[in-house]
Amino acid sequence: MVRRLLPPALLALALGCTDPVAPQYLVKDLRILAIQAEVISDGQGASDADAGDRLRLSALVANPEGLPMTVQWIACAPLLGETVSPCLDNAVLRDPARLLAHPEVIPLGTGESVETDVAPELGPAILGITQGASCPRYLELPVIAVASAGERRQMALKRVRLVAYQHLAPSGYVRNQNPRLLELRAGVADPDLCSNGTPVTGPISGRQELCGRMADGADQTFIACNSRNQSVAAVEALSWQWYVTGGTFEDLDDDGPREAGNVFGREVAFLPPEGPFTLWVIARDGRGGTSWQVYNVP
Amino acid sequence: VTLIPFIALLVGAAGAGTLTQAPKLSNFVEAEYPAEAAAAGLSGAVELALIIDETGEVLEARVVEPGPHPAFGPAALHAAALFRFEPAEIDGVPAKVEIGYRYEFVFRPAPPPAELPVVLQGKILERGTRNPVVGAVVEASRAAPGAPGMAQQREVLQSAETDAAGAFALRGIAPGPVQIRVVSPAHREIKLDETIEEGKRREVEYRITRHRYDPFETVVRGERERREVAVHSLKLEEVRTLPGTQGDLLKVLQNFPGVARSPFGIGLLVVRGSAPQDTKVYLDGVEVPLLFHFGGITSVVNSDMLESLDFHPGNFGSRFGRAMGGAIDVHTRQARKEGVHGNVNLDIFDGEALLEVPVGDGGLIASVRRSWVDQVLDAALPRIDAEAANELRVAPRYYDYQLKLDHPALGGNLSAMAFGSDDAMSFIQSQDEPGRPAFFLRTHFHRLAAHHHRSFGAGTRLRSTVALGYDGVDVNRATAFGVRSEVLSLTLREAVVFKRSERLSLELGVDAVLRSFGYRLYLARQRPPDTVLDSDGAEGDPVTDEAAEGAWLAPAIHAELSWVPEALPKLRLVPGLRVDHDSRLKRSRVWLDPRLAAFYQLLPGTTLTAAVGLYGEAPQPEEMTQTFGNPDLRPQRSVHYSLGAIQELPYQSRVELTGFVKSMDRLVAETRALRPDGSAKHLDNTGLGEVYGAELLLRRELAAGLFGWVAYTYSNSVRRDDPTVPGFPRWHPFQFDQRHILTMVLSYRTAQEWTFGTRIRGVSGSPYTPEVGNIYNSDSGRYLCVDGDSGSRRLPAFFQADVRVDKRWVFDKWVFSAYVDVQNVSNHENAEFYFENYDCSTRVALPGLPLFPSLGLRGEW
Repeated sequence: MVRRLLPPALLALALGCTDPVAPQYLVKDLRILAIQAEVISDGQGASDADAGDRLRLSALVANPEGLPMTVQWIACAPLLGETVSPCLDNAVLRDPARLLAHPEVIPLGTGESVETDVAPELGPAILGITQGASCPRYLELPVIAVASAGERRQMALKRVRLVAYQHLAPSGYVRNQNPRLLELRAGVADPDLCSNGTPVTGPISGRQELCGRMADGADQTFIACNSRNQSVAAVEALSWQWYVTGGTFEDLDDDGPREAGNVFGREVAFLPPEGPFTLWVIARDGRGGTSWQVYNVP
Repeated sequence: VTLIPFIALLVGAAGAGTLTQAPKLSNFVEAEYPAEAAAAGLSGAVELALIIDETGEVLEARVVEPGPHPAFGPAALHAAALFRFEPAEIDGVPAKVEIGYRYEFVFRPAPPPAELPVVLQGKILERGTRNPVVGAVVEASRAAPGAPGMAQQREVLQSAETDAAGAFALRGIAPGPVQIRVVSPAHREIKLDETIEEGKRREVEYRITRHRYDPFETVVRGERERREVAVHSLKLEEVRTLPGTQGDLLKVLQNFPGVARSPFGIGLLVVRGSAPQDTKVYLDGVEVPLLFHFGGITSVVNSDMLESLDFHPGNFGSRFGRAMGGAIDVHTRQARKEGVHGNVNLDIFDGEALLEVPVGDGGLIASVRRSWVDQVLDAALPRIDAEAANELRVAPRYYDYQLKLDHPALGGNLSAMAFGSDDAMSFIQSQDEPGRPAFFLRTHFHRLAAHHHRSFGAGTRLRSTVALGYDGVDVNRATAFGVRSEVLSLTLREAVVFKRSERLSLELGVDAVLRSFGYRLYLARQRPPDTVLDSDGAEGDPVTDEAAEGAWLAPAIHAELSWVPEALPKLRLVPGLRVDHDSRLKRSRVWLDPRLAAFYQLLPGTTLTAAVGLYGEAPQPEEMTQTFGNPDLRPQRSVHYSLGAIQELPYQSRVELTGFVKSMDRLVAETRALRPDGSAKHLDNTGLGEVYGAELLLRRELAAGLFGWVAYTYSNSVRRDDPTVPGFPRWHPFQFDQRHILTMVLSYRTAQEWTFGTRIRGVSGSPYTPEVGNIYNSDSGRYLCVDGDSGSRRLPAFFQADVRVDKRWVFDKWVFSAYVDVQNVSNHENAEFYFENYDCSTRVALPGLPLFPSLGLRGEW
């Protein structure tokens, strides 16, 4: 095993020496930037769903070229056991057309947002994975959005968590809510920029520190499984991700080409471009919860 | 009359074993000085070739160079036939060898009567090594009066020969100035002026310089019967100065035919298209889990502890097992028994020290090495402030040690050895949780071993090895992956060789390992293979863990016959059988590996070889874990075929051509299949492999300072996956398949102790799997790459030239060496690996080593 582990370790060591390539944050054409799953049948804004829940799936799609665009949604069977899902299969994903036509995928509709029901037939499977477990477990429902504009086609995967939350409630299970990203604030470097900064409502001029301000209680405390399958209390580790159609994010870590220009962090340094641009900021809670804000800056 | 015995350079030959003990003259018989030569005042040397058998008797003597007088040859032959030697040892056992012997006849006046007083006495020592010089002639002379106008003649007054301690004494020389001349065949002659004083005895110590500081002037002539059709042997002194190896004997392995080049030189041993873990490495018969620190910086054993290594790329004998690839047999040397010696080596990676001392009739040798890369980085990189720093800190550190005691015991030779290695490295990033680095790796092993070998008469030899071992691994990558394992092992190897005649011998052996293990492993839930989420927990998947402990026994018995049929004396057959058992396995616990090798001497110097054999190997321990592997796996199998020819050439050279085919089945392969309970099998014995190719080796042994080889390998290694994987039933290239591998190595030493070396390598690019699309993982904000066909593209070809210059300075009591080694002297940019960019649409090449000079220093005494 050690012989197999060493090469990745050495490669990791070498990664820091590579030149960066085009940054991920810079959006020039069609992209799907995020997907949010929200249970709408109970109005609580939760991302955890159970059998029978009504679910809204929304895609944050960047289409800076303004080409006519469609978004198709499909789902595969939950990742139960170790069967191979066509939604994850390399051989199927090589060709989006083949994926859409695959007999095992379930079409969910078309549009930047679709609504669907979690099939009641999944109830026993969702409950089954919970029962007998010493800590909260969930099933994953793979959902794929396929955006098309002109010749360009983009796929994005969302694994919706299916949890028997009502069954788990007596044991203290905290149902996951989508975190709420309230606003974007700007200012000079300030340890408490999200409180002291100025809300961004208009043009951004000159180099600015930006902060994605969350609603209170966005980072929930919840019960998680540790690596020994024991229940432990944990606090959600919120993460942010930034995209723009122009401008430059500064002071980025050089983590190799796979991470080139992928801007994470609650506060970032940004040099805006000349003229109008669009800025997207996305917040994730690490448990399937997502929210975002879009700024079309004149 | 003085007779100077001298064991001179001999001709190396194909298939030579490892000379672990040179023959030593134990009973010298003085030749009668031919009267005609004495009357003429003639001196001169006769070069003889002597064949010495396993008991030390001279079987055959012949004159190679008769010297300046025809009577010298017969006189030397007559005396040499009566010599008696302590036999040579090959691989630790007495063996028949052929040596060169120079009989030097030095005419001297009759010695003065013994009652004359000693006026000059002392010792002759070798510079640098401080070894006594035996058999040197010390001659005192004085200018003789001559006729005016004539060149001045010298009158030899007295001469003496040094004894086993290098001591001599000159007697009865009249007071006054004299010239002392010291003559030794292996050393440079010196002349000094001394003054003899009336009534005084002068004590002196003279140091003379060896012609070449090369301890391997005696090379075996291939008398050990060759048992494998392909075996490549190396001796330390041959390779110490090869470029790109830092003098590391084991790193030189990667330049042999049949060995693929490792990316970044990380030391993976990919032998004839087999996976790295399929080649086993033994140190004095004890398996070691790692050959190199951190996969390639340097080997885990100080090369100065090593005598030699034998590399078997395939079709190896039945004494090696549990391996489908190759076998590497590394031998440590015995401590020198004369005086205290040691050395210190310093280079850019580490420092090492070695000390050897005589202990009774045996010797003790100890070595320790410690890296200083961590110290250098610690000083060079900014200190991490846990609160504010945003730097990556890398702290690799390694050390190893060896301790060996040899002593005659129990009618043979007993050696006790302790050795081990410890590597640790961690990447610490500012965002890491306290106490949990982004990456941590520690691998360490320790061995305590005892070896004994002895002979029972002329025909039976017994080798015994018992060893205790500890292997520890501790790896974690933050919260996503971790493994901690400890293995205790007890190894027992016994082999007895019965030699009935030159035509027939039999080796029987036991090779057993008992292991006790405990491990804990945590890992992200594994996805089926060839899916976009099949990597480990980088995407934040929940992890699961497994812990277990237990013990397993893997005993084996093996037998091998060496038989020359009476009707076909040019043919030798070596049939063997090995029976292995592995108590871990639920199925096919016992497997039989029959093997056969044949050698046919077509012409003197021309040998044809052929071999076929079955090679079984149990799955790796991690492949049989309950949660992440498959406990129902069976042993993997491989059939090796090879056909070759060996041709001896002039100038101590030879050429070997070997064709090979390897057919593998039951290979452990990833599967999408499920167990009856719906859980994943993860792995199954459904993989297939095929390898075919040819190797060409043109090699010159170290002689007259010149040494090197050209190795070319053509290889085609393919695999077929499990039927449930989409790539099935197509065959695809093996991960490290390299079609053409060409290596040229050359080293030349001048008499002035300069050594110039070069290594040139050209290798086909390794396969890689291209990315043909992507899907955005909206839960992480990163793209997942969609793989294309496995191994369907190749990296560009690799080329690298290295050069090295060594200089050795010999002082009275020690020797100092320095080298400059420049790797990739042409600064050729070699793509070692491709990284995809963030959305897998562009590849970025990770280049290998640029032009890289390094400096090393060595002191020895």
